[in-house]
Amino acid sequence: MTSGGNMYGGDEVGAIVLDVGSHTIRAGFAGEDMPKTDLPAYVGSCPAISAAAVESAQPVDGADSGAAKQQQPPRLYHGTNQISVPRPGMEIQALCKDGMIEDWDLFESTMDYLYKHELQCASEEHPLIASEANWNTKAKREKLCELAFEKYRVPAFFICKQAVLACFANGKATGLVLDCGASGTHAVPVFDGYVVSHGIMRSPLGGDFLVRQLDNYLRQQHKLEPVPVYRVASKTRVEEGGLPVWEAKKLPQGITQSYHNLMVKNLLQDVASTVLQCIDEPYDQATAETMPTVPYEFPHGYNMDFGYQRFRLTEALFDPANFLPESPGSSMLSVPHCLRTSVERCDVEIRQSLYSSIVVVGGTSLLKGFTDRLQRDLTARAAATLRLKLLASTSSGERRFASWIGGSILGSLGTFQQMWFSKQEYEESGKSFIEKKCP
Amino acid sequence: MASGVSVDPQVEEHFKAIKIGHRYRYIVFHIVNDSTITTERIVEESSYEDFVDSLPRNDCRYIIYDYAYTLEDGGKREKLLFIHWAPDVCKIRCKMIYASSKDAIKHKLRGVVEIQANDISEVAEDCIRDRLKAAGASGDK
Repeated sequence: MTSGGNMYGGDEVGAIVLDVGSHTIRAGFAGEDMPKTDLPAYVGSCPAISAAAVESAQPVDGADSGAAKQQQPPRLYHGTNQISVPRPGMEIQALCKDGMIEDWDLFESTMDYLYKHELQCASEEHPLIASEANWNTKAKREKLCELAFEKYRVPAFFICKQAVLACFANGKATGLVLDCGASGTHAVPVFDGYVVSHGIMRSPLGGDFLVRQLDNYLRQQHKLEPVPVYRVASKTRVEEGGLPVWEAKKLPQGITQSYHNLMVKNLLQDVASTVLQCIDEPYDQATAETMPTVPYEFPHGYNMDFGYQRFRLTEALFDPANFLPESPGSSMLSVPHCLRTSVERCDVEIRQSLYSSIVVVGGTSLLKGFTDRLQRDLTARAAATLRLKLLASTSSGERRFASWIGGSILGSLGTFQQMWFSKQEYEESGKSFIEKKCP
Repeated sequence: MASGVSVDPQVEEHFKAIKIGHRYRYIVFHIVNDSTITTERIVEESSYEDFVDSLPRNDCRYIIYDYAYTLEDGGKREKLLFIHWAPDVCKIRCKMIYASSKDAIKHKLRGVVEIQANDISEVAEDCIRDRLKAAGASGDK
């Protein structure tokens, strides 16, 4: 084990906490403050041939490996470092769709990688506590349960809803969890520790959406093709807004489009988190123009100041009908609208409790000014007697990893021992018993 | 979903004494050793303000408060408040344990009005009154 290994030592063996999201997978040991690893929820997949060629000789020399061995399974790459290397023929594939595990083969290989390289421990020695999407299907949770017991031979297993963990971690048994993540925004009502599934509202307005907006804006207004850092060998300083002067790196043949897209996305995510901000009142051009600008220099040397666009791009989260250039009059739900609709779908008696416990989590909620603007928009539309309260942790870690941290605390409790779905119970009752143990 | 934290049998006895006998003004419960919910202190008489002042500012608690009040039309009412006190500033571990164990104690406490409070403004008397009004309007729980 690593040097930090004895921190969670003691009499009982620590559980492993796994939180699968559509953007990253968080994993670590129960009882720790932060996950050990925040792995991309993508896998790089190389055809066996070219992978072998890369292994044998660094300068790619495809001619030598003429004898094709098509049957070999593709070589898979995990983790930010491995995925970011440009490799010929490497396709990037996502593990999840809609927040749920979609490709089980890739998921298994990711779990293998996690146990071996990131957590460095034997799966059969540690109980596993996993989070699941709030709308996860019965089939998928049973499949995960089966995988944990059959393949990884875990001594015990537990699964719980992401929103419930996030809600508990903010000190609420009843609340409305607004998860503004990469793939979109979800409003999930939680009542007495259970998800009110008919109240869940989902909107595609999230981090990926902002990245696409930013991409469109740069291409259309600045005629800028974002060049990710892997393609740049060197750059020269240029004037602001001037044509970039740069030298391309010599790359092996056959870099795939999916790899390029992921690298562009990573670059734009960095741009977005650096420059974008939410304005605290509904967007007004004159006000936005008076706000300070933020400079950004792209990897290939192009640099520019972001002015009012910093605020205009994020305004679509709050007013998609007027601020989506490609689909004017869009019927997408704005973030506050999504939240209100979710509450209105719940029983009238619990609405006040939900409004007074709005738990804001997810990476996209870390945009500067996001919670202030949300508070303002909700207050503007709410009745005067309604008590609104937004709970948003000030620590970015707690916001991004709320579900993981919740699972970590739960898994470290001595009393939680009796809650686990044990191997013995699994062998006696089968996978469908998970519904009873983890309702 | 629950944490597996258990409830000391005395909790129920103290609850009966306040519910049926109106013997105390309020009872404070806490979780000891991350494993059992027990009675921390019992207060026989106190003003509501003193009670609010006595709440720990960086620790969670459950409280049963025997709250008596007068309606606008002069009618007198008594309600047992079950307050889940979890200040924003306290440790995330503490908030998690109290929130995930709430179900265990709630099962022992029948006929109470639940209040979740994350800061002083949410236990302030006017806020409590609003809640009671709302709870009364939609039928007593």
